[in-house]
Amino acid sequence: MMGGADQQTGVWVYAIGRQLDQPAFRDLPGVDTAPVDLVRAGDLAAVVSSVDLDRFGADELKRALNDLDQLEQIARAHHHVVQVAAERPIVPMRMATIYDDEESVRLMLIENSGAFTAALHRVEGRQEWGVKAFASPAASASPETTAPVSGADYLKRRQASLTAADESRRASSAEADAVYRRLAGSAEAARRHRPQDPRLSGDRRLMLLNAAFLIDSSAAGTFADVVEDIRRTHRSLDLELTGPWAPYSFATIDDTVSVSSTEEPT
Amino acid sequence: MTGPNSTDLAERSQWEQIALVDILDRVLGTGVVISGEVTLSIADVDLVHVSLHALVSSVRPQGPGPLWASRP
Repeated sequence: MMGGADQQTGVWVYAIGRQLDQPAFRDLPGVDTAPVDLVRAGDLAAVVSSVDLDRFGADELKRALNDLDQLEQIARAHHHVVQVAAERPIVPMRMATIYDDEESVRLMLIENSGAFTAALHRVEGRQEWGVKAFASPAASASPETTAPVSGADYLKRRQASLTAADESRRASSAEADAVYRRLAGSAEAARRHRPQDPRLSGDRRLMLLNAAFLIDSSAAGTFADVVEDIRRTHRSLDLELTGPWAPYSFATIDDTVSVSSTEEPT
Repeated sequence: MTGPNSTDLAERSQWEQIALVDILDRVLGTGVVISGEVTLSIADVDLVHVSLHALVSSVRPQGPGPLWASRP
């Protein structure tokens, strides 16, 4: 944590929690492999590590986050620390939240202690699970086998196939909405994320649903059963379940800009 | 991960190797942002006009968020 006179450091904050113990973070490499530490204020603690502002200053960080390899390294390191912290109730911070020094972190904890305590209460004993639904390639495959006999035939077929694809997409999308509503009904809270970009996911299938659900830890098995049941009853969708995640999507405080979209899709 | 006594939850979720894109959904698209004395947060990092613009903007949360409303 000691920065030399000519080496400016900042404090990277991973998460805010209660009942956090330093030993849980021993030997855990943080972002840029820095050791992970706690900054305490009352019964709250921030999970932090020191970052060199020569490499994590505004411009440098911007460059780093726009390089896919560096972005991946930083994101995975950040996420790993958050997941370890999530053994206890925590509120994850947006990645790349950096404070001047530990004193500023302490002040932030004190000023927001009410909001953090409320947020921690909401996520305590709960886990985030992710469900993604894709249009099943098997269900959306086109049966067209014979070659078109003319240009007009080609255009007609093309139009028909576009219309069919459009209709099938609409139907799948409505089905995904229904799946979301059913899963939300078995969750404490639910939120839809944007569908993922195939260039990042490497998955060519059409993503219809990318959602997160807050589940009582004791009900995780039941939730997985519901997902399994949906798999059986909605053959046109491919479902993927991920988790348990730290409660990223649900640990919001009043002062936050993150948007909670638990409302039903229209 | 899955011992004989554990539930098959770990198997039912494709959890062993977490996709980067799933992590980005969360670390960039969610998480608490506190206004005020934050020296530097992703809010100040204009990810948007550089090469990964399209990719990274795809993981922003639904709905309006000042965070990502940067110029193209």
